[in-house]
Amino acid sequence: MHFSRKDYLHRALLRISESPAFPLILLGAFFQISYAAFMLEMSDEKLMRRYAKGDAKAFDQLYARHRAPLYRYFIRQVNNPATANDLYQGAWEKIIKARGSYRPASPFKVWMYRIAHNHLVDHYRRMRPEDSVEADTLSDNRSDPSRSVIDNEQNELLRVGITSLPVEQRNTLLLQLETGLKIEEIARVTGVGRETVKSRLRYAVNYLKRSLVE
Amino acid sequence: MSNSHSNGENDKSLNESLDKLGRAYNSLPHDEPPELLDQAILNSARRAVEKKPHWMKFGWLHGLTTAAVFVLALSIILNQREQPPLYESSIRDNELTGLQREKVAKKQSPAVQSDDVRMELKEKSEIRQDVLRDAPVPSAQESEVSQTASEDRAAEPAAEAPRAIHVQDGLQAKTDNADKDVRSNEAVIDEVQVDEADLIVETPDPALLSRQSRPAAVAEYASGEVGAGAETDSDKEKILQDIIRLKQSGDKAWITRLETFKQNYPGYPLPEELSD
Repeated sequence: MHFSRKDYLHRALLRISESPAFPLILLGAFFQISYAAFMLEMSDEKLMRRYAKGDAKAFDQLYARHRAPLYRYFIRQVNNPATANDLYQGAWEKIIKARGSYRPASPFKVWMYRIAHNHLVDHYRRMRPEDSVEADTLSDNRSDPSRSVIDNEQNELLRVGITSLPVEQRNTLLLQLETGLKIEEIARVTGVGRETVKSRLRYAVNYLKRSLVE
Repeated sequence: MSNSHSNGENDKSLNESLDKLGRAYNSLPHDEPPELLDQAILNSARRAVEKKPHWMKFGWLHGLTTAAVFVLALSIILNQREQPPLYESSIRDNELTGLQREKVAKKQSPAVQSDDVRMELKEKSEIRQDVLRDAPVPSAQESEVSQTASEDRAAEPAAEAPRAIHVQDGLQAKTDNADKDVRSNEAVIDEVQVDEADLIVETPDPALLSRQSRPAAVAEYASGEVGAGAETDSDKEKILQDIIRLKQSGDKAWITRLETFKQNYPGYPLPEELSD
């Protein structure tokens, strides 16, 4: 007699439903699902506050929300996966350490990207002059020709254009494109004035337009 | 006015350009961090908020209490080793009382000392007899009142063994009481019936002593004295040495001191320097 996978599953469910602990299992599952839904609806600020009080699951949720944008912010800046990994991990370590100093008055995203931005600035400062971002970026692009072949030509042009921007302009542009922060928030993250942010964005946009058209 | 208008236009054009650029940017491949990196960061975050056990928060207090308990236990053990058990200490107290009495007697003049020793021995024997007679009665007054009753009990020889416990207690009390009475009246002491073995210090025959060597004679003299030990002999030897020194220095006082010594310690063997 042959049992299919569905039969086994059906039998297992029947056994579970017949067991005396079934109401307890149902109750536990209900609480788990409602807790997850509660976490999903919770704002970044509340999650961070909960994490600062010792709720590790709140951090899991927070991390799931911001992991990809933050990683892209770093990898588009340095265009080197190894360096980006180091920067990314270092930034999160700093966020974890600074959890006690977080004040919910400021948006979590601004606070987090400010830490990430400062970490990146420290990285640039540590770098030797010959290891400048531009040099690193160019060498990376040239050493990986297969990637440029596979990628769409337009995308490749955009990627190269972004990486060839000056550091301040690239940083401002990536904060705007990747995180969706407003100009005021970008100004708070980078520690410059609102108009400076706007002019940097304008320069970056014009440069990319030109490079894409050419 | 024109500036603000141009700024507004610039902002609008910038926003439009950014929207277009954003759409193009979103078409770029979505790079994501490696899973291992994710796990490392999440583990680090969990470790950072892991709560320590309650007792580890007061680690210093835990160490302090452990040290305090250890010191206390050690001090109790050492104290227990130094102090003998209670019953032993009580026995030692009784012995010490006797020794102290001897020392007090020694500090007194030699003439008084011999009398005191004799009197004390008399008292002891008297008290012993009294106590054996009325053993169950702890105090002196009660023993006199129930004298007839105690005589009846004394007739029972088997009852004497348990009474031995009371004998020592009564002995001390009686000694203290009788101390005053006996000293006040020396005449009464001569009439008291005492055990001759306890009372009389047998003095060795001087003729016999002269035949023996002096250390042997001194040892025999010491063994004959009740309660006299090596200390007593050494004191006597010191007195004799002083007398010898006086004699050698030519001081006439040695004669009177020797006479006094002979009176106090009759029969005590004298050294050759003084035996002339």
